[in-house]
Amino acid sequence: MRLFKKNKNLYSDQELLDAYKENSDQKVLADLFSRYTHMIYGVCMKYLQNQDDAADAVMNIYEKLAKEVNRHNILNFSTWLYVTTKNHCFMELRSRKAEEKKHENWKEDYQIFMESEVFLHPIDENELHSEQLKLCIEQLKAEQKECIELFYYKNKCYMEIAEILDINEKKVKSYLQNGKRNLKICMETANDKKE
Amino acid sequence: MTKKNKHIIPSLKQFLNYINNKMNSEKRNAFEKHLQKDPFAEDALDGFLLLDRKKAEKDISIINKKILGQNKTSYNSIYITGIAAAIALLVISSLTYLAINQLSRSKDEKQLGYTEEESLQKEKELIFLAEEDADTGYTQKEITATGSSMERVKKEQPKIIITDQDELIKVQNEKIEEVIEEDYIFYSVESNAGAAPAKPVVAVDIICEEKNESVAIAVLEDADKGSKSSRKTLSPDYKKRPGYIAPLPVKGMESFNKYIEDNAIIPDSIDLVSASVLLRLLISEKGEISNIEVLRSPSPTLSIMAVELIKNGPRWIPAKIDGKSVSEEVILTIDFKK
Repeated sequence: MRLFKKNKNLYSDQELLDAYKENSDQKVLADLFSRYTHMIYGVCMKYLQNQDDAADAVMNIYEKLAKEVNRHNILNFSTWLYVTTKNHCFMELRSRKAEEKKHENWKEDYQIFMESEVFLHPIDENELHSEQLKLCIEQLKAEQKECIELFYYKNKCYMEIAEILDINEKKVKSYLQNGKRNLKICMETANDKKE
Repeated sequence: MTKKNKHIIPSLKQFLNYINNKMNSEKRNAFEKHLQKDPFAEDALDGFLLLDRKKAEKDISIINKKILGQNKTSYNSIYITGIAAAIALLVISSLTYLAINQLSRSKDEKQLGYTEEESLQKEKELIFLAEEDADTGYTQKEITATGSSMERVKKEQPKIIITDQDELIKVQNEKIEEVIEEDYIFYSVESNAGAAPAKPVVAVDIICEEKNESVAIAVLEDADKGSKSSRKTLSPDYKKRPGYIAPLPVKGMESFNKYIEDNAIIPDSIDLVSASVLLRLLISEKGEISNIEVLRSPSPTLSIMAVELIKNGPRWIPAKIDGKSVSEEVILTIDFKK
């Protein structure tokens, strides 16, 4: 009955999921799924490279969902759904027998990802003003440092950063990614030292 | 669940706005920061870059319709009913009170078909009907007339309230047949934008809870078609004539859009990033706003906010045909943002 107290938009994924597990109301699952329809569609599009296939895949995933939800202990619905979606796409690709080996590798990737906890980089966790983080940023290579400062501290978008540094957007993204990875390593070693 | 744990899902519109470069750089940065946190969204974006936007929108709405339509029994129908009943009761009792006031005021001046007690009795019946309607739990829709239309009604034909109501109920029943499955709520919004109370207020709000497609407005005919108050829409032919000028906000559309942009902010209590409310309103030949109806809205709160925005917004210049002011309907979309 607690579900009736507020508008369904106010429920978190987890609450809807628990409600579904409790009374298997397909409607609840449909509501939950429909929050992600467009994202799943986008991901399927990325991997299947065809819009009609993507639309079919979304429906197939929805149909599989009811069974899968009960089989797994889902800690984070969004991440789980993402993995399930990717998984579905890889299976689909594999069944097409195209580039089988390549996707075999992808599958390993996702399994590792599935087992690990969802990890948020400290910089994405609004810990921008941590002293340690600032120290680590100072130690980065010039391009990475510039990109991270512009993106996280000056709130510039990729496009603007590309313009300021006179590089293309892909470079910006890769500097950010590498910069973040280096930061993470730096932060972890610093924490180890403390202990 | 605390807010922190809650996963934010960027809407399709946000993705498309990002791709089509319709965001300012501040919003772009915020969106990109989200992408950095959320590989799901990042992958989805990669996908959206590859696809045809119109087809994607269509596919997604079809899929959503399919999965949401598969399940007729709604777990949220019960609380919707509760809200509907509560709102209906509130609105009806306040409007009834107003109507009674009007009645007793006009009683002395006019020859009435029946006494105040009788009219009270009728009002009670109205309330009863409405309550019964609410109890059935589907939808609540009440159409009310205040001021002069009440008086007019009584002078000419004392029983018209009931027949009128019967007609309305009939309309409601037709609607309910559709509505049972669709989960729309109807309730009325008082929409007298400070104009003289002589104008009957007829407003019906449709809330389309989870469907994105547009919904046909419920029938709302005034009891007296010949009166000033009945809906006036110019025939499309008029609009094609060179002498026709559409109604406009006093300071022009640009300043009006700015007003909406500055004020249409989604309150924190609503978990939507963007939403739009479709309104229909009548601009009288004097430029007064009346008959504000909500045609489509994702939430009752936003419906009320949208109506308030229009009521408190700038005055309008009425439509003109060959320089002569005429009343005309306007359909407006109010885009709410966080």
